[in-house]
Amino acid sequence: MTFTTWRPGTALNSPVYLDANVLVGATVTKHRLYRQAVEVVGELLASGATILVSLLGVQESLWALARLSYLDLFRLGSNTSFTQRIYERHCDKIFEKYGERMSAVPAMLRGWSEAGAAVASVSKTDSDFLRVSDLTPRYMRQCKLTPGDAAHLALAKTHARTFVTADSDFKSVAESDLLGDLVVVHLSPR
Amino acid sequence: MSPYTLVSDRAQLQPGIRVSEEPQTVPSVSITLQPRRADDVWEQFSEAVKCGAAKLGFEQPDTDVREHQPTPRLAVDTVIVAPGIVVSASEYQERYGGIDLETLRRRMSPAVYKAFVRYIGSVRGREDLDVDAISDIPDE
Repeated sequence: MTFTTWRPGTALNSPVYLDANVLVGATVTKHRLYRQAVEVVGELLASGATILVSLLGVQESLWALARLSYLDLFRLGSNTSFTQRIYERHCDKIFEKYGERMSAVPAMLRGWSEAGAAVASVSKTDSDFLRVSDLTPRYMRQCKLTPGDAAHLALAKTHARTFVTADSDFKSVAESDLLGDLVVVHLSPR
Repeated sequence: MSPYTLVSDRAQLQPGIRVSEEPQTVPSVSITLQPRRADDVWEQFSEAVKCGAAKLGFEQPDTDVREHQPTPRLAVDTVIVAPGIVVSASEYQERYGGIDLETLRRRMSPAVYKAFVRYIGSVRGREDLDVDAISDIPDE
């Protein structure tokens, strides 16, 4: 597996699996990786690459937008604690004030797809699903990853040639030879 | 189409423009437009707005608007990013600043380019936001 930092011109061999932080990164402005996330998305759409996303990625992006909405709702600092219980307590207010924002990532994926871009979800077949399910706990153990990160890696390994992420935890995975030809492209501040 | 109608149409069509969901109570303003030169139309529009504002208690200075606005202006400091997608200059800088849109536009179909610019940066974030950390599923 190759681990490389994104720069304009970096090869993004199709199909390309996007981590949730890339979806969120291109949707939400101002943060330090916004420009890099938009560059990657722009390159993928311009090159006609197949963009792979998963329900896990969409779910995580929804948590990210719920957390941001909670912070904005009460004008809290970005490192304020956020739990599922807090979300449940303030769910109505979040959607009352930021309902449109909460749909931003699904709307973006739908918009790209309806415009003709190649956007696909994974896994689609039972055999692929079972393969991802088998790989996930293996990656958790061997790479010391959280279930979510291990599942993203298993999805990328099963379906893609390139995995784009802002998570630096995958750097340690690159030192192993578990992932064969998969290229991990990492977004990091310049 | 009157200038007032043009503004209304544009506000409805642009997804980047936020419109208050709260019902607003304002004095009614009647505008009757006759076929005139553009400057006259703007003057009449301005007069109607001044009358409406005066009903709300805002004193309106009696100025010659033609000094500043020789013709009706539908929007100030706006940028057309793609057909049908117009944003303010500040929003343009926040969402598209530093991105080589022209090169990307040449490489994309018009529909894909429009979808690209429509959705990127549609949510205002924070400079200190860690998009990787906030994308984790939170604890119970």
